[in-house]
Amino acid sequence: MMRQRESNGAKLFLTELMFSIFFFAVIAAICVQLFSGAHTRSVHSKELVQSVNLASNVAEYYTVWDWEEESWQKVFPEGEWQGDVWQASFDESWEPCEESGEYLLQMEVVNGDEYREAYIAITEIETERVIYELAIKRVV
Amino acid sequence: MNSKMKQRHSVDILFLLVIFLVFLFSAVSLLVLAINFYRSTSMRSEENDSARVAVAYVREVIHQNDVADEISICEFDGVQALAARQEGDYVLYLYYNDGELRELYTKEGAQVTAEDGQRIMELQAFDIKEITPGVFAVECEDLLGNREQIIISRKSSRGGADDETT
Repeated sequence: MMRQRESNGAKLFLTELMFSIFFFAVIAAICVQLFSGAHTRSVHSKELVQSVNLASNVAEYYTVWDWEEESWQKVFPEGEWQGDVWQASFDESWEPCEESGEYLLQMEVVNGDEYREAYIAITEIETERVIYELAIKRVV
Repeated sequence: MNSKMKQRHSVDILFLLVIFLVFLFSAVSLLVLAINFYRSTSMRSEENDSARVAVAYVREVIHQNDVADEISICEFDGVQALAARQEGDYVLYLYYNDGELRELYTKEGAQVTAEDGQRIMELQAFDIKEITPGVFAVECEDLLGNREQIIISRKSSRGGADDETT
């Protein structure tokens, strides 16, 4: 009788523990998903902040630029011109790098009759995801 | 027979104990994981904010006071400062002194020192220079060691802004 009661107690405890583990596993899966989502968002947020900053720098200088490639290179020595496109690569810590890095900043200049337009885009090279885009018009 | 029952009973307890330990280990692991995620997220958010606030403030000061060449870099009480001249011979100085970014709004020629300025925020380093006429480069380093650099152009020197950003 005593042994039967002990065995029932152990079974009950085991069942309770199994239920706890099951609920814990479900909640843990949800939590990990939420944490990884928050982590991804914070990484993207940092990328966006850096991209907005870089694009703003380029846009600020574009508005007063004298259209000479030499003066552009003096202010932004990290990139190079390829025709009408100026581009610069950045590594994962947003430091300029010569080889193909993690991020690419491209500025395409389009000459019009009244305006000279520039399209600035910052992309993640591996996924080709556009992080930030900015268009500027400047009177010629 | 009795010893067999006893052995089975101790295996039952051992099994329960192992499951309980696994449960405990998972719970602690999840907690540690959560703490690390939270720490890295809040750290990244702080990194994003502190240095950016300083350069954004300087950007705002330059754009707000961008009237008829009234923005310049000068020396104020032995420190390098951004001076924004305003109506009625008043001048707004923005400078770095004693590990702090400070601002001082005063009448030009008044007997004031860099210590009199209003504290904006603490920084490790701050530098502002005019790289080409009308183009300022501002570089600052916050207390976490994050560096931020921005380029700001003075548009009033060309007789007003003719740019349009979309």
